[in-house]
Amino acid sequence: MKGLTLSQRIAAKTILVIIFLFKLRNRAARKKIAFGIARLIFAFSPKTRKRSINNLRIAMPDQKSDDRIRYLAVTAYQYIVFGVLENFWFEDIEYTFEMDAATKALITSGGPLSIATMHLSCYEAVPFALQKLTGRVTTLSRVPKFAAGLHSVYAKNGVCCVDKSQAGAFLSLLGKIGSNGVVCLHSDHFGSDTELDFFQLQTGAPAGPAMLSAYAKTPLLIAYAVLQKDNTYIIHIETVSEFPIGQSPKAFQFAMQAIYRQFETIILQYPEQWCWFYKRWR
Amino acid sequence: MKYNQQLKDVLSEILNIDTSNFIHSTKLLGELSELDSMSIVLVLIEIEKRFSLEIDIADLEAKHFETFGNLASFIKNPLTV
Repeated sequence: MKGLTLSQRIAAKTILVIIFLFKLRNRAARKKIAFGIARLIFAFSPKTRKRSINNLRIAMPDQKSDDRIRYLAVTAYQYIVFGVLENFWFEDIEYTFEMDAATKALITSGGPLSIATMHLSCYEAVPFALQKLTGRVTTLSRVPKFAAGLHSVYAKNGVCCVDKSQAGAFLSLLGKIGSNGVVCLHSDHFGSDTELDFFQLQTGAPAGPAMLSAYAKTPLLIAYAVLQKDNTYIIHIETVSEFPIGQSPKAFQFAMQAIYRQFETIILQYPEQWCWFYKRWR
Repeated sequence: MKYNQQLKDVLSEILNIDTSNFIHSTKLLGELSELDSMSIVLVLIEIEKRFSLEIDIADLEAKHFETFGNLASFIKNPLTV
Protein backbone atom coordinates (compact mmCIF):
# COMPACT_ATOMS: atom_id res chain seq x y z
CA MET A 1 0.00 0.00 0.00
CA LYS A 2 3.07 2.24 0.08
CA GLY A 3 3.05 5.19 -2.32
CA LEU A 4 -0.72 5.08 -2.85
CA THR A 5 -3.00 8.09 -2.49
CA LEU A 6 -5.87 7.90 0.00
CA SER A 7 -8.42 7.10 -2.72
CA GLN A 8 -6.13 4.40 -4.17
CA ARG A 9 -5.71 2.90 -0.71
CA ILE A 10 -9.48 2.87 -0.22
CA ALA A 11 -9.95 1.23 -3.65
CA ALA A 12 -7.28 -1.36 -2.86
CA LYS A 13 -8.86 -2.18 0.52
CA THR A 14 -12.32 -2.36 -1.07
CA ILE A 15 -11.05 -4.92 -3.59
CA LEU A 16 -9.60 -7.02 -0.77
CA VAL A 17 -12.92 -6.91 1.12
CA ILE A 18 -14.87 -7.88 -2.01
CA ILE A 19 -12.51 -10.82 -2.65
CA PHE A 20 -12.82 -11.88 0.99
CA LEU A 21 -16.62 -11.86 0.71
CA PHE A 22 -16.53 -13.84 -2.53
CA LYS A 23 -14.25 -16.42 -0.97
CA LEU A 24 -16.83 -17.15 1.71
CA ARG A 25 -18.93 -18.83 -1.01
CA ASN A 26 -18.24 -21.83 -3.23
CA ARG A 27 -17.13 -21.29 -6.83
CA ALA A 28 -20.53 -21.89 -8.37
CA ALA A 29 -22.01 -19.20 -6.11
CA ARG A 30 -19.09 -16.86 -6.81
CA LYS A 31 -19.73 -17.27 -10.52
CA LYS A 32 -23.44 -16.55 -10.12
CA ILE A 33 -22.76 -13.41 -8.08
CA ALA A 34 -19.99 -12.22 -10.45
CA PHE A 35 -22.24 -12.74 -13.46
CA GLY A 36 -25.02 -10.78 -11.73
CA ILE A 37 -22.73 -7.89 -10.84
CA ALA A 38 -21.26 -7.88 -14.35
CA ARG A 39 -24.72 -7.75 -15.94
CA LEU A 40 -25.56 -4.77 -13.74
CA ILE A 41 -22.34 -2.90 -14.54
CA PHE A 42 -22.80 -3.63 -18.23
CA ALA A 43 -26.35 -2.27 -18.16
CA PHE A 44 -25.09 1.03 -16.75
CA SER A 45 -22.04 1.35 -19.03
CA PRO A 46 -23.27 2.63 -22.41
CA LYS A 47 -19.75 3.11 -23.82
CA THR A 48 -18.71 -0.42 -22.90
CA ARG A 49 -21.92 -1.79 -24.38
CA LYS A 50 -21.56 0.18 -27.60
CA ARG A 51 -17.91 -0.79 -28.02
CA SER A 52 -18.65 -4.48 -27.44
CA ILE A 53 -21.46 -4.47 -29.97
CA ASN A 54 -19.35 -2.60 -32.55
CA ASN A 55 -16.49 -5.08 -32.12
CA LEU A 56 -18.85 -8.03 -32.43
CA ARG A 57 -20.27 -6.60 -35.66
CA ILE A 58 -16.73 -6.25 -37.06
CA ALA A 59 -15.88 -9.86 -36.24
CA MET A 60 -19.25 -11.31 -37.19
CA PRO A 61 -20.55 -9.32 -40.18
CA ASP A 62 -22.84 -12.21 -41.15
CA GLN A 63 -24.56 -12.28 -37.77
CA LYS A 64 -27.91 -10.60 -38.49
CA SER A 65 -29.52 -11.20 -35.13
CA ASP A 66 -29.24 -8.19 -32.83
CA ASP A 67 -30.37 -10.38 -29.94
CA ARG A 68 -27.45 -12.76 -30.53
CA ILE A 69 -24.97 -9.84 -30.68
CA ARG A 70 -26.37 -8.32 -27.48
CA TYR A 71 -26.30 -11.74 -25.79
CA LEU A 72 -22.64 -12.24 -26.71
CA ALA A 73 -21.72 -8.73 -25.57
CA VAL A 74 -23.17 -9.13 -22.08
CA THR A 75 -22.12 -12.78 -21.67
CA ALA A 76 -18.53 -12.04 -22.64
CA TYR A 77 -18.47 -9.21 -20.12
CA GLN A 78 -19.71 -11.62 -17.45
CA TYR A 79 -17.03 -14.18 -18.29
CA ILE A 80 -14.26 -11.57 -18.21
CA VAL A 81 -15.39 -10.09 -14.87
CA PHE A 82 -15.59 -13.57 -13.37
CA GLY A 83 -12.24 -14.45 -14.96
CA VAL A 84 -10.51 -11.47 -13.36
CA LEU A 85 -11.92 -12.43 -9.96
CA GLU A 86 -10.79 -16.04 -10.48
CA ASN A 87 -7.17 -14.82 -10.37
CA PHE A 88 -7.63 -14.18 -6.65
CA TRP A 89 -8.56 -17.78 -5.85
CA PHE A 90 -6.68 -19.62 -8.56
CA GLU A 91 -5.62 -22.27 -6.03
CA ASP A 92 -9.31 -23.35 -5.90
CA ILE A 93 -9.50 -23.91 -9.65
CA GLU A 94 -9.27 -27.23 -11.44
CA TYR A 95 -7.81 -27.28 -14.90
CA THR A 96 -6.39 -29.65 -17.47
CA PHE A 97 -4.01 -29.09 -20.36
CA GLU A 98 -4.78 -29.94 -23.94
CA MET A 99 -1.92 -30.10 -26.43
CA ASP A 100 -0.57 -32.41 -29.09
CA ALA A 101 2.48 -34.62 -28.61
CA ALA A 102 4.88 -32.24 -30.38
CA THR A 103 3.79 -29.31 -28.23
CA LYS A 104 4.03 -31.41 -25.10
CA ALA A 105 7.60 -32.31 -26.06
CA LEU A 106 8.45 -28.59 -26.34
CA ILE A 107 6.81 -27.78 -23.01
CA THR A 108 8.57 -30.58 -21.18
CA SER A 109 11.94 -30.02 -22.89
CA GLY A 110 12.97 -27.55 -20.20
CA GLY A 111 14.03 -24.99 -22.79
CA PRO A 112 12.97 -21.36 -23.14
CA LEU A 113 9.58 -20.70 -24.72
CA SER A 114 7.78 -17.68 -26.09
CA ILE A 115 4.01 -17.96 -25.68
CA ALA A 116 1.32 -15.68 -27.08
CA THR A 117 -1.83 -15.75 -25.03
CA MET A 118 -5.14 -13.92 -25.19
CA HIS A 119 -7.90 -12.23 -23.16
CA LEU A 120 -10.22 -15.20 -23.00
CA SER A 121 -12.17 -15.96 -19.78
CA CYS A 122 -9.66 -16.11 -16.87
CA TYR A 123 -6.83 -14.74 -18.93
CA GLU A 124 -4.13 -15.13 -16.28
CA ALA A 125 -4.98 -18.84 -16.00
CA VAL A 126 -2.42 -19.54 -18.73
CA PRO A 127 0.66 -18.17 -16.92
CA PHE A 128 -0.55 -19.49 -13.55
CA ALA A 129 -1.21 -23.00 -14.84
CA LEU A 130 1.97 -23.06 -16.93
CA GLN A 131 3.94 -22.04 -13.87
CA LYS A 132 2.74 -25.20 -12.14
CA LEU A 133 3.87 -27.19 -15.18
CA THR A 134 7.22 -25.54 -15.89
CA GLY A 135 8.19 -23.53 -12.79
CA ARG A 136 9.74 -20.62 -14.71
CA VAL A 137 6.97 -18.40 -16.10
CA THR A 138 7.21 -14.65 -16.59
CA THR A 139 4.43 -12.40 -17.79
CA LEU A 140 3.94 -8.71 -18.48
CA SER A 141 1.17 -6.61 -16.97
CA ARG A 142 0.24 -3.04 -16.22
CA VAL A 143 -1.44 -3.36 -12.86
CA PRO A 144 -3.24 -0.15 -11.85
CA LYS A 145 -2.10 1.30 -8.52
CA PHE A 146 -5.53 0.78 -6.93
CA ALA A 147 -5.28 -2.92 -7.81
CA ALA A 148 -1.81 -3.28 -6.31
CA GLY A 149 -3.02 -6.47 -4.59
CA LEU A 150 -2.88 -8.17 -7.99
CA HIS A 151 0.93 -8.15 -7.78
CA SER A 152 0.70 -10.43 -4.77
CA VAL A 153 -1.57 -12.73 -6.79
CA TYR A 154 1.21 -13.22 -9.33
CA ALA A 155 3.71 -13.81 -6.53
CA LYS A 156 1.34 -16.26 -4.81
CA ASN A 157 1.21 -18.29 -8.02
CA GLY A 158 4.98 -18.13 -8.43
CA VAL A 159 4.79 -16.09 -11.63
CA CYS A 160 7.27 -13.29 -12.23
CA CYS A 161 5.27 -10.26 -13.39
CA VAL A 162 7.20 -7.55 -15.20
CA ASP A 163 5.58 -4.14 -14.87
CA LYS A 164 4.70 -2.98 -18.36
CA SER A 165 5.05 0.69 -17.42
CA GLN A 166 8.68 0.40 -16.30
CA ALA A 167 11.38 1.57 -18.69
CA GLY A 168 13.18 -1.43 -20.09
CA ALA A 169 10.33 -3.88 -19.41
CA PHE A 170 11.10 -5.67 -22.66
CA LEU A 171 14.75 -6.05 -21.65
CA SER A 172 13.58 -7.76 -18.47
CA LEU A 173 11.56 -10.19 -20.60
CA LEU A 174 14.61 -10.84 -22.77
CA GLY A 175 16.65 -11.49 -19.65
CA LYS A 176 14.04 -13.96 -18.39
CA ILE A 177 13.72 -15.89 -21.64
CA GLY A 178 17.52 -15.84 -21.94
CA SER A 179 17.64 -17.58 -18.56
CA ASN A 180 15.57 -20.46 -19.87
CA GLY A 181 12.28 -18.78 -18.99
CA VAL A 182 8.80 -19.34 -20.32
CA VAL A 183 7.43 -15.91 -21.25
CA CYS A 184 3.66 -15.56 -21.67
CA LEU A 185 2.47 -12.35 -23.29
CA HIS A 186 -1.13 -11.31 -23.90
CA SER A 187 -1.02 -10.48 -27.57
CA ASP A 188 -4.58 -9.97 -28.80
CA HIS A 189 -4.85 -6.34 -27.69
CA PHE A 190 -3.96 -3.29 -29.79
CA GLY A 191 -0.26 -2.58 -30.16
CA SER A 192 2.06 -0.53 -32.30
CA ASP A 193 4.80 -3.08 -33.03
CA THR A 194 3.38 -4.36 -36.29
CA GLU A 195 0.46 -4.04 -38.71
CA LEU A 196 -1.77 -6.97 -39.53
CA ASP A 197 -5.21 -8.05 -40.58
CA PHE A 198 -7.67 -9.00 -37.82
CA PHE A 199 -11.18 -9.97 -38.86
CA GLN A 200 -10.64 -8.35 -42.26
CA LEU A 201 -9.55 -5.00 -40.80
CA GLN A 202 -6.02 -3.58 -40.78
CA THR A 203 -4.87 -2.86 -37.25
CA GLY A 204 -1.82 -2.54 -35.03
CA ALA A 205 -0.68 -5.39 -32.83
CA PRO A 206 2.08 -6.23 -30.38
CA ALA A 207 4.88 -8.42 -31.69
CA GLY A 208 6.52 -9.32 -28.37
CA PRO A 209 6.16 -13.11 -28.68
CA ALA A 210 7.62 -13.12 -32.21
CA MET A 211 10.49 -10.82 -31.22
CA LEU A 212 11.34 -12.94 -28.19
CA SER A 213 11.27 -16.10 -30.29
CA ALA A 214 13.51 -14.46 -32.90
CA TYR A 215 16.10 -12.98 -30.60
CA ALA A 216 16.20 -15.69 -27.93
CA LYS A 217 15.89 -18.38 -30.62
CA THR A 218 12.96 -20.20 -29.05
CA PRO A 219 9.86 -21.96 -30.33
CA LEU A 220 6.70 -19.86 -30.57
CA LEU A 221 3.45 -21.13 -29.05
CA ILE A 222 -0.14 -20.03 -28.42
CA ALA A 223 -1.97 -20.78 -25.17
CA TYR A 224 -5.48 -19.89 -23.99
CA ALA A 225 -7.87 -20.89 -21.22
CA VAL A 226 -11.50 -21.86 -21.81
CA LEU A 227 -14.01 -22.12 -18.96
CA GLN A 228 -16.07 -25.31 -19.17
CA LYS A 229 -19.67 -25.89 -18.11
CA ASP A 230 -18.46 -27.71 -14.99
CA ASN A 231 -16.43 -24.60 -14.04
CA THR A 232 -13.07 -26.25 -14.73
CA TYR A 233 -10.68 -24.80 -17.29
CA ILE A 234 -9.00 -26.36 -20.26
CA ILE A 235 -5.66 -24.75 -21.01
CA HIS A 236 -5.06 -25.21 -24.73
CA ILE A 237 -1.47 -25.00 -25.95
CA GLU A 238 -0.57 -25.06 -29.64
CA THR A 239 2.70 -24.75 -31.53
CA VAL A 240 2.93 -21.88 -34.01
CA SER A 241 6.56 -22.52 -34.91
CA GLU A 242 8.84 -25.19 -33.54
CA PHE A 243 11.77 -23.09 -34.79
CA PRO A 244 12.77 -19.50 -33.96
CA ILE A 245 11.14 -16.72 -35.95
CA GLY A 246 13.35 -14.87 -38.47
CA GLN A 247 15.15 -11.76 -37.24
CA SER A 248 13.38 -9.04 -39.23
CA PRO A 249 10.26 -6.89 -38.84
CA LYS A 250 8.73 -8.71 -41.84
CA ALA A 251 9.25 -12.06 -40.13
CA PHE A 252 7.73 -10.70 -36.90
CA GLN A 253 4.72 -9.46 -38.85
CA PHE A 254 4.31 -12.78 -40.64
CA ALA A 255 4.44 -14.71 -37.37
CA MET A 256 1.99 -12.39 -35.62
CA GLN A 257 -0.39 -12.62 -38.57
CA ALA A 258 -0.29 -16.42 -38.26
CA ILE A 259 -1.05 -16.06 -34.54
CA TYR A 260 -3.92 -13.68 -35.26
CA ARG A 261 -5.41 -16.09 -37.81
CA GLN A 262 -5.50 -18.66 -35.02
CA PHE A 263 -6.91 -16.06 -32.59
CA GLU A 264 -9.79 -15.43 -35.01
CA THR A 265 -10.64 -19.12 -35.08
CA ILE A 266 -10.48 -19.37 -31.28
CA ILE A 267 -12.58 -16.24 -30.76
CA LEU A 268 -15.27 -17.45 -33.15
CA GLN A 269 -15.25 -20.80 -31.37
CA TYR A 270 -15.68 -19.18 -27.93
CA PRO A 271 -17.19 -15.74 -28.65
CA GLU A 272 -18.91 -15.60 -25.27
CA GLN A 273 -15.54 -15.72 -23.48
CA TRP A 274 -13.46 -13.13 -25.35
CA CYS A 275 -12.95 -9.56 -24.16
CA TRP A 276 -15.13 -7.68 -26.66
CA PHE A 277 -15.47 -4.44 -24.68
CA TYR A 278 -11.88 -3.34 -25.31
CA LYS A 279 -11.22 -0.76 -28.04
CA ARG A 280 -9.36 -3.24 -30.24
CA TRP A 281 -9.50 -1.58 -33.65
CA ARG A 282 -8.03 1.94 -33.59
CA MET B 1 36.25 5.65 -30.65
CA LYS B 2 35.61 3.21 -33.48
CA TYR B 3 33.16 1.28 -31.33
CA ASN B 4 31.33 4.46 -30.37
CA GLN B 5 30.97 5.65 -33.95
CA GLN B 6 29.74 2.25 -35.10
CA LEU B 7 27.22 2.21 -32.28
CA LYS B 8 26.04 5.70 -33.17
CA ASP B 9 25.55 4.48 -36.75
CA VAL B 10 23.50 1.51 -35.56
CA LEU B 11 21.27 3.68 -33.37
CA SER B 12 20.91 6.29 -36.08
CA GLU B 13 19.89 3.72 -38.68
CA ILE B 14 17.48 1.73 -36.51
CA LEU B 15 15.90 4.64 -34.65
CA ASN B 16 16.09 7.03 -37.57
CA ILE B 17 17.51 9.84 -35.43
CA ASP B 18 20.60 12.05 -35.42
CA THR B 19 23.13 10.55 -33.03
CA SER B 20 26.13 12.71 -33.98
CA ASN B 21 26.02 14.63 -30.70
CA PHE B 22 25.63 11.56 -28.48
CA ILE B 23 28.09 11.48 -25.61
CA HIS B 24 28.77 8.95 -22.84
CA SER B 25 26.01 10.37 -20.62
CA THR B 26 23.32 10.72 -23.29
CA LYS B 27 20.23 9.03 -21.92
CA LEU B 28 18.56 6.39 -24.07
CA LEU B 29 15.95 4.28 -22.28
CA GLY B 30 12.98 6.29 -21.09
CA GLU B 31 14.29 9.34 -22.92
CA LEU B 32 14.17 8.36 -26.59
CA SER B 33 10.59 7.60 -27.58
CA GLU B 34 11.95 5.81 -30.66
CA LEU B 35 13.57 3.19 -28.43
CA ASP B 36 10.58 0.85 -28.06
CA SER B 37 10.63 -2.94 -27.72
CA MET B 38 10.82 -3.46 -31.48
CA SER B 39 13.79 -1.11 -31.90
CA ILE B 40 15.58 -2.61 -28.89
CA VAL B 41 15.46 -6.02 -30.56
CA LEU B 42 16.54 -4.60 -33.90
CA VAL B 43 19.40 -2.68 -32.27
CA LEU B 44 20.57 -5.85 -30.52
CA ILE B 45 20.39 -7.88 -33.74
CA GLU B 46 22.33 -5.20 -35.63
CA ILE B 47 24.95 -4.89 -32.86
CA GLU B 48 25.57 -8.64 -33.02
CA LYS B 49 26.02 -8.42 -36.80
CA ARG B 50 28.24 -5.31 -36.87
CA PHE B 51 30.41 -6.21 -33.91
CA SER B 52 30.49 -9.94 -34.68
CA LEU B 53 29.52 -10.86 -31.16
CA GLU B 54 26.82 -12.89 -29.53
CA ILE B 55 25.20 -11.18 -26.57
CA ASP B 56 24.27 -13.45 -23.69
CA ILE B 57 20.61 -12.48 -23.33
CA ALA B 58 20.52 -13.64 -19.73
CA ASP B 59 22.97 -10.82 -18.91
CA LEU B 60 20.77 -8.14 -20.46
CA GLU B 61 19.38 -5.53 -18.10
CA ALA B 62 17.68 -2.18 -18.48
CA LYS B 63 20.82 -0.44 -17.18
CA HIS B 64 22.69 -1.46 -20.33
CA PHE B 65 20.35 0.77 -22.34
CA GLU B 66 20.20 3.59 -19.78
CA THR B 67 22.87 5.72 -21.46
CA PHE B 68 24.90 5.65 -24.63
CA GLY B 69 28.00 5.05 -22.53
CA ASN B 70 26.49 2.04 -20.81
CA LEU B 71 25.51 0.49 -24.10
CA ALA B 72 28.96 1.14 -25.58
CA SER B 73 30.64 -0.40 -22.53
CA PHE B 74 28.30 -3.40 -22.67
CA ILE B 75 29.28 -4.06 -26.28
CA LYS B 76 32.99 -3.69 -25.57
CA ASN B 77 32.77 -6.02 -22.63
CA PRO B 78 29.32 -7.44 -21.90
CA LEU B 79 30.36 -8.72 -18.50
CA THR B 80 31.78 -5.53 -16.99
CA VAL B 81 28.79 -3.15 -17.09
